[in-house]
Order: sequence, then structure tokens, then C-alpha cells
Amino acid sequence: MVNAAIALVLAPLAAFILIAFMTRRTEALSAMVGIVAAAASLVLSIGLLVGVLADPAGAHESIKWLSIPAIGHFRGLEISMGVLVDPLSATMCVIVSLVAFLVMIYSLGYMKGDPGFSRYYAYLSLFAFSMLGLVVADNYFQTFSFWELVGLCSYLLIGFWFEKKSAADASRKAFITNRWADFGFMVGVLLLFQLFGSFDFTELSTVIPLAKGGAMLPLIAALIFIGPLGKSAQFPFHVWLPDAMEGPTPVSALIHAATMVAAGVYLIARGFILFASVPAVMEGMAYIGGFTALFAASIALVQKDIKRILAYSTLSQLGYMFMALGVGSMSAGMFHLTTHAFFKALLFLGAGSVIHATGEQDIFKMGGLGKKMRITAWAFTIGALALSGIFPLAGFWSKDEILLASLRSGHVGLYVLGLGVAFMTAFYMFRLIFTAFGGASTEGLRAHESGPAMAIPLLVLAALSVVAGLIGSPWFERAFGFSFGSFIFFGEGEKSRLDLTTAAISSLVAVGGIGLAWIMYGKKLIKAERVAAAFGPAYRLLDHKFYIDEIYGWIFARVMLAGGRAFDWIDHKVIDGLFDGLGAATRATGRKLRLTQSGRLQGYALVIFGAVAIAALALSTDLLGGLLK
Amino acid sequence: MLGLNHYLVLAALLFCIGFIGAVAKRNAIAVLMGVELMLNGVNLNLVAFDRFGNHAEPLGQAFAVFIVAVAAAEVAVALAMILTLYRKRGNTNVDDLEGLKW
Amino acid sequence: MESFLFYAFAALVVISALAMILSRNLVHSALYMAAAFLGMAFVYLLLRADYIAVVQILVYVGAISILFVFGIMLTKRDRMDGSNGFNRYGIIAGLVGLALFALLARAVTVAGASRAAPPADVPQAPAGGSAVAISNLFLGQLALPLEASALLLLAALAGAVVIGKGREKSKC
Repeated sequence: MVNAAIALVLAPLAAFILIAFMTRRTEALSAMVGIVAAAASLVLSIGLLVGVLADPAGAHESIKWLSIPAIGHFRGLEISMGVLVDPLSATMCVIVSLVAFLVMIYSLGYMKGDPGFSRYYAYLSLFAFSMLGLVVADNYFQTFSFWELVGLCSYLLIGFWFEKKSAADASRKAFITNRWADFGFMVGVLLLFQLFGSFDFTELSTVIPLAKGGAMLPLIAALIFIGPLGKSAQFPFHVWLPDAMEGPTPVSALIHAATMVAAGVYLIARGFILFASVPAVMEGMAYIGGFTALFAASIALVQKDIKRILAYSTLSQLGYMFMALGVGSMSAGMFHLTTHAFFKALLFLGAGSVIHATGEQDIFKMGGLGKKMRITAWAFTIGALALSGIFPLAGFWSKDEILLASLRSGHVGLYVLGLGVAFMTAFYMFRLIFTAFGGASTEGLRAHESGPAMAIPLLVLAALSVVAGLIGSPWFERAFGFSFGSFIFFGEGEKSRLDLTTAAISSLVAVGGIGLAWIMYGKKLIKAERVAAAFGPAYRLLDHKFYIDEIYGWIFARVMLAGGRAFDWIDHKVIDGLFDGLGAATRATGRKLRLTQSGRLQGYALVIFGAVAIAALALSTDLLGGLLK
Repeated sequence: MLGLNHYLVLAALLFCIGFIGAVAKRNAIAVLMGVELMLNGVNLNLVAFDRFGNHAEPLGQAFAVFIVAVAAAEVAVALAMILTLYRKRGNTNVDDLEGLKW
Repeated sequence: MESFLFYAFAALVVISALAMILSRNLVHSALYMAAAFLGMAFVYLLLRADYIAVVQILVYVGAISILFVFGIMLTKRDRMDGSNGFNRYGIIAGLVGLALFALLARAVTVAGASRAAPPADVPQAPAGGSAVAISNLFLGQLALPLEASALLLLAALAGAVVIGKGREKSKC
């Protein structure tokens, strides 16, 4: 099991190295290498999952990698490298490698003819490697390393078309935002080690419950929690994700579905014991998640760019996941992560297909695409239905789990908020569909169905979006004796259940959202412009994404740049002055000392003999005692 | 009574005079003379120790003979070099030789 | 008697050596050097090292001094006055030399006190002088070093010829 896990992590790395150093010039070969490696990872992951299903105990193996002994009262450092295979990591491996594999196949069509084709596949492979490495890591240190690698890969891929200024800016924004969050994560991990002397997840899970009541623990949990906030783009670190649209669309699919943003949720699930022992952090997590869900969904209501709508939808769905984790249901959070991975990848790849066909991203400039791009339209609609939580598609099951979990844990406010978000989600998704795919076709818009390389992944993901939710359904449990909740859980396994009231309410809400969208954008019974005019200030607020970017921009321009200038001055005048002074002093001394090197042999001989005399005098003071004393 | 010390002090004196000659003279030939004097001082040391030491065979004297041979070889080569130097520069001033720097 | 002879010869050696380095005339220096070498030969005789004394006279006084005079002759053709001045290190060199001597003399007087007199079992040189014993050594135990020094002399001879001849002369 461990060997399979190691192999499935290393396969994409091998692909990256191969592409980077050998097949870079042969584009077709590069793509082949990447796809074969991803396929190998996928097969191994499925094997791993089957193995874990048979034996949920999984496997854990680690080697000591670096060991620094304790010095005085400074604690020594022990870093190990290991592989942890359990239901959580095995499931995650399957999701990551599956989405990566499909995205790579899809990219064959989408990225065709791009000058950076090989580079693209190299990055994708590296991305898959980083994420898989993060998933199977068995300790916080290793997780942090891969966490940073994931960040690097997202930087590389968002800025893939780096000659475009907006892309370069977006990649920098993603990287810097994540750096802020990662700093919290890093400090938290170091404090954690300081407190418990171990990075190991398994070890920590036995130690942390015993340490309850420690004053440090809430601080550590809060600091580590900042990391996922950044990676999973929760408020207030959400600003990078919408801008990440600048990367190629398949990359967005990868980032939004399986790799980058999933890392944050995964880390919380992985270290759930830590957060679960600090109720305050859990509450904060739930409310930040809920707030982000509402906040992002409301922004998505008014966006015009197809990818931006999907991006805010991702933010909102990640908020859902955080909410689920925050109210204590790790199963629900991970379940939503799983189903969301499928339908969000589907939606992004569908959007990519539309963009690839039309070269247009503004949904109001599209229209009638349903007739021209049948496969894409159907797949997209399935994805939207799944996202809206329509029975029996994937989103229905996982969203209900979350709503149920928040209700059962007594967070009625969050439950109502979740319902509101569900309504908005259904509304903005079908606003998109009715506008872009329905209605009359816009004149001059060329569109065609995409080739098989792009269509097949869409179909596979559409199928998965339909059935993936069933693994959390009572029927599945009845048929196979287990379900998602009893496979991945924290504390006690959760029986899968279908609360008919909750299901009915959420379905009604979703249908209501779709209906409103149909009225406004399908039939155009209510003019959207008039609604916008009626709620003028609110509309503008949403359209400008609550002015968060502007606020950050102001903070950056005023506070950061001023601070930067101050530091720049210190650096140039004080620090540089110090070192320049040292340099000048050395040079001056050298200029003087140089003169002793006269080049005259006799001078040298004199110095040698004088030195010998002095040395003899110094060494033989005992013998010559009388002379010196 | 004459002891080992007398010879050793004489040798040291010779060595130091030779050293001053070798280091402080301007002419290359004079420098060479100083070096010869130093070698003689060393030779005197060897012979004196041979005499006052308790040896069956006069190894110290034999060593002194070797030094004489090496000194002769050295003088021959060094004088040849001084000759070349003179041919090249027109004098035998060691002061002007400043090649051995940085 | 022996003491008197030693001091006399030592005085000859030291005065000649000092005169050698202090003389402003290079030729005079060479002559003083020969005198110092000669004095050394007598000191060797006092040490019952008659073979070395003879070698000293033959090689140093006879050959090396003449070599120096040849060297001077070949490089200095104008007036000899002031041909042998001190360089800029004169005073420092004198001080270092004195310090070195003080150190050595002190070391000798502190450490060599126990060996004030020659061993009693060698009161007189053996018949035939020290030459017999040394030649026995050279032809037996030290045969190989002797051959090596012969080789060194040969190499020095060849080297001196090559260097002294110079590049431009080799064309002729």
C-alpha cells in the first residue's frame, strides 16, 4: 500500500522531469508523458482506495529524514518523511489524480497549438505531484513543503501566459496572498512542534486530546487555520481566486476542483483533531465559511464573465465546506469536496469549451449556444443542476449533509444562511445557462462543438456528477453496508440518512432559484436592468465585489508602500552603509598593507628570520627563562 | 678550559653576521657571500658537535663535507644567475628586483 | 694554549667576517671572506677535524673565493669604491641579526652547560687523521649519499653552464 502511494506520487514528478529535460521539444510526446503518468497515478489511487476499503486501518510508514539534537534547553528538531494511507488520503488521491487526468486529456484539445504546450504539461504534472504529495504526507512539515509547492505551481499556471500583464499580475496576487496565509500556517506548525515535539499527524492525534486546556493550543489552531483560509480562498484571503481566471481554463478547473483550493479543506480534515479540540476556532471556521459562502454567492449574482461566476461559485462552495467542518462534520465537508470536485471541474471544462469555441467570456454576448454545442450545453446543465443541489445529482446529497449537520449541531442561523446561499447558487447558475445557452443566438458569434479530446472528459465528469452523490446516500449504504459518512469521519462514523424535511426545503429553494432565473433571464418577464436599477447601491456594491480589491489596493498603496519605502531607506542608508563602510575599510587597509609586499627578496628574508626569532622566543620561554623573567 | 659552548657561540656569531650580510647588502655577490658565511657557521656547529659528542664514527664531519659540496654547487649556479642578471640589466643590484610581489 | 689559539682564530674569523660585510669595496669584501674561511680552517684543526680543515682550505679559500672574484670581475668593470653598499634594510637587519645572536647565544649557554668538555675517550686524533675514518664512511655507509652529491655537483655544473651562457649566446 505504501509503495503504491509512493509510486502514485512520484509518477507525475517523473513526468515533470522527463518533460522538462527531455521531451520539451516534442509536444505530442510531452503530452503523452504527462497523461500516462496521470493515468498511472489514477490507477494506483483506485487500487489504493480499493485496498483501504478492504482495510480501513490503512498504512503508515515514515523514515527519519533530518534530526538535530537538542542543545541546552532548545528543543531538537526531528523531521521525518512518510506516507499515510487512510480513507481520507486514498479518497483524495483518487479525486486529485482523476481530475488531473481528465484535465490533461481535455487540454490536448484546449491548448492545441499553444507555444508553451510542453511547459504546460510539465507544470500540470508538477501540480499533480505536489498535490498528491500533500495528500499522502504524514506530518505537518512535509505537508507544509508540498503546500508551498502547490502554491508555486498555481503561481506558474495562473501566470502561464505571462506575457499578458493581467496574467502576470494575477499570478503574483495569488502567490502573495497565499504567502500571507502560509506565514500563519508556518508559525502555527513551528509552535505546534515546540509544544508537542512532533509533526506527525498520527502521533499528534494521540497527544493533542490529552493537552486540552493548554493556552497555546487555541493560538496554534488559529494560526494553522490561516493557511487553509489562504489556500481555500476564504474571506479575507479570497481575492486571489477570481483573478486566477487569467490562467488557461483547464487550469482553473484543476485549481478549483481538485488541487489548490482543496488543499485547504483537506488540511483541516487531516488535522481535524487539532481544530476539534478548540471550539472557538471551530466556531470561527463555521462562521467564516458561512459568511464567505453568502458573500461570494451574492457577488456571483451580478458577474458577467462566465469564469468569474464560476470562480465566485467556488468561493461560495468552499465556504460551505468550511461551514461543514466548522460545525464538526468532517464527513460532510469532505463529501462536499468530493462531489464539488466533479461538478466544478465539469463546469469549468464546459466553460473552457465555450470559450474555446467562441473566444468570448461575457455571457451576455453569448446566447443560443445550446443548439450549436449540444454536448457542452448538456454537460454544463448537468453540472449546474448538481451545483444547485437538484435530486438526485451529486450536489443534492452533499449539500443536504452540510445543512443537516449545521442544523443538528444547533447552528440554525448557519442553516438558514446555507439555504439562502443555495437559492442564490441556483439562481446565478441558471442565469448563466439561460443567458448563454438559451435564447436567440447572438449575431456574429461563431461557435462549434469541441473535439473528442475535450468532449470525453466532459462526459465522464457529467456522469460522475450524476452518480458521485449516491455514495453518500442511504441506498448505497443499504446495498454495500457503508457510505461516505462511515468511511471518512471524525470521532464516530455517521450513518447516512435522508432527512426528508431538509431535503424538501433545500430542493424547493433550489427550484425556486432556478424558477426566478427562468422568469428573469429565460422568459424575461422581469427586466434584469430594472431590478438592478431598483437596487442601485446594492448592485454597485456587488458589481465591485464589495470593494474588497479596492480596499486592499488602498492598504497596499498607503500602508505597505510607505512601510516599504521606510525599509528601503533603512536598507540603503543604514545596512548598505554599514557594509559599504566595511568594504571601504577593507580596501583602505589593503591599500596600505599592499606596500609591505615590496617584492624584494631580502625584505621577505628579514621578515622570516625576525618571525622565527620571535617564535623561538615565544616557544622557549621555559628554556630561556632567565632571559625573559 | 675550552668547551662546546665556545664553538657554538662562534658559530652563532658567524651565522648572524652572514645573515646581516645576506639581508642588508645591495650587491647580489655580497648577498651570496653572506649566505656562504651562514653555511660556514652551520658547518662549524656540525663539526663541534661531532667532536664533543660521543660517536664511534665522525658522521658530523661527513655531513659537513656534504654541505661543502652543496655550497660549492650553489655558488656555481648562483654566480651563473648573477651573470645572466648582469647581462640583462647592466648591474647586479638586488634592490631593483621587485618581481616578487602581488 | 688551546684556549689562546681558539680566541685568536675566532677573533680572526669574526673580524674578517665583520669587515667583509662592512667593507664598501666588493673586492675587499671577497678578500675578507677568504680570510674568514682561512680562520675557520684553523678552528676546525682545533676541533681535531683535519680533513675538514683541508677541505675548507681547498674548496672555500681556494675555489669558492676565486669563483667570487671571477664573478666580481665579470660584472663590475668600473671603479670598485662604493660598490658594496647597504640597502634600505641595513639598520633593521642589524637589529634582527643581533637579536638572533642574543637568542642563540642565550640558548647555547643555557642548554649546552653540561657539555663543557670533550669526552675523555677521544683525547687525541687517531693516526692518519680523521681522513681515514671519513673515507671509511664515504666508501661504506654513506656511499649512496656520496654518489647523490656527485650527481648534484654534475647537475650544478651543467646548470651553471646553461644559465651562464645565456640565450643569445647559444645561437653563435
